[in-house]
Amino acid sequence: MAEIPRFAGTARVLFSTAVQGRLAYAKYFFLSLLGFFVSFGLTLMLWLYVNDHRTGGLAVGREDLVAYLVLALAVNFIFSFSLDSFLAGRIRTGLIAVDLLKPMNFQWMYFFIALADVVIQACMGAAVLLIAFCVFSIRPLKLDAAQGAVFFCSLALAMLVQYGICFIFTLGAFFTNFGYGIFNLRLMTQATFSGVFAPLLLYPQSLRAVAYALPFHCVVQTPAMLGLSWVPAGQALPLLGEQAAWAAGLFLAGQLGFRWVIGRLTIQGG
Amino acid sequence: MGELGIYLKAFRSMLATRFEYRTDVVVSLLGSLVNQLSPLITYAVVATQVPTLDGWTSPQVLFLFGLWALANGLSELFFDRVWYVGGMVNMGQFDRLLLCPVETLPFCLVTEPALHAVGNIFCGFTLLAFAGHALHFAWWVWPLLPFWGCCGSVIYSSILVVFSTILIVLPGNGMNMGVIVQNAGNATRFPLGIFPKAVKWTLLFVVPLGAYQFLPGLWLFRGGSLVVGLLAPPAAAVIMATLAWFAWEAALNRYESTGN
Repeated sequence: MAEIPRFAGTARVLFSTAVQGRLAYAKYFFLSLLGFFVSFGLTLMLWLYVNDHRTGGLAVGREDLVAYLVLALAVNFIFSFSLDSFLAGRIRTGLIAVDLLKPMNFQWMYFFIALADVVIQACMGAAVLLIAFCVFSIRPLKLDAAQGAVFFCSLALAMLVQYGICFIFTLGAFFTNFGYGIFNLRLMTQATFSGVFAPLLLYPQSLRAVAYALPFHCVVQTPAMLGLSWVPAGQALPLLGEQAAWAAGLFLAGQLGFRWVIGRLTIQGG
Repeated sequence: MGELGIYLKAFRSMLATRFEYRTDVVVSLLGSLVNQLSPLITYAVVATQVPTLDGWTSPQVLFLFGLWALANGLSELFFDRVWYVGGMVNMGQFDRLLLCPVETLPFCLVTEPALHAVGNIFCGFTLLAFAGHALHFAWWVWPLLPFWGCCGSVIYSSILVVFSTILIVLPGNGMNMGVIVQNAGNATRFPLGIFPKAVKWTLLFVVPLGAYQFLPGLWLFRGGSLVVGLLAPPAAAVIMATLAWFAWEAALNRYESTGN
């Protein structure tokens, strides 16, 4: 039991150090946000064109589509930490040796560092929603108390799923010298199948089946659907259960994978 | 040895270094294939909703996809270091570059060839071959495709250089500036006519990422001007390269070492 306060103290230090590190480059978060806005704006314009030129419109109404894309962007931005490329750099320069010497579970240690990104980016995500609320005259979130509770629970689970995915992809960085391939594999698969580009409802049947077989939709589409009340709070339990199952499975797979990988690690020096 | 010879030697030695890491070669190629496959899948989603985009059929849109992939790949092969300028400034490696007795911009750009470029170039040519076959390109169109790809590579890299100069003047934490350019470039995979006029003109004249594939596409498929289709891509490439050169020189004059 004495381990718990020590663990909490270490986690707090890791988290606050990471937050300070991120805030030291605060202006770059705004530039990063600008990049997301460019991407979002172009995606939105594409879908609005498609909606306006499709006979009978899309399966999702224009206002719902805009609200979904705004919320999906905000959620995707909140969870856009790049653990894989960061860790790949540390492995390449030998700094990973310092991390491995710390008397703390490696997976948990990086979880708290990633959490710092999430907290800062959540503030930015809230700003995105606020701007969208003003610009598009829509309600980006449609929440009552029960729906709000379910939405935030889903966001917390989405964070765990996203971390689990990133950590497993990061293990690949132990076998490579350059993080690009690993980073891109994760990023582009996620961009395709998470629902950030469009609700999976608009995907052809075969692609939708692939998307639902992968964990990425639990990171973006599930919280977005709950935030927009497309799925009422009373029917949210299976979705939350699916997120929890993915989070637990990925975390366990990450632990096992890390044990296997660490036995084969050669520190490359510094 | 002339300066060009030094660039070539540096490029070749860095390329050889990259190929030493075999797992990296495989994973990077896989990453670049997914990088091209992902937008194709998203286009497939769009194509199931509307048969054409502003009158452009699927093979015509794939022509745009192919040229963007090719330009991207060539940029990654020959000019990829532009992505690392921010990191070089942070780590003090930029100072070392300034000590080299050569022109810093071309030397900086050619000394970090990326392996994933090969995957993007392969995807670009594959998409162009598919589009050319489906659209029955005349024989004289085929040699123009790599020419437009090269123009696109210069345009894209030049814009990246201009944006990267912000990182020289304002040292920060990374590569975010390039992401903005890349995201804008991703839009040029689609016919620019689907976007509002302000966006279309921005992508043609301000950051001319659409000049090397959309304008030739207009000429080939939509009865656009031959002169514009043929001359706009190299003209945009020359203008943007000149602008990049001046921006780089101006940024160097305001550079302050981080002292790491």
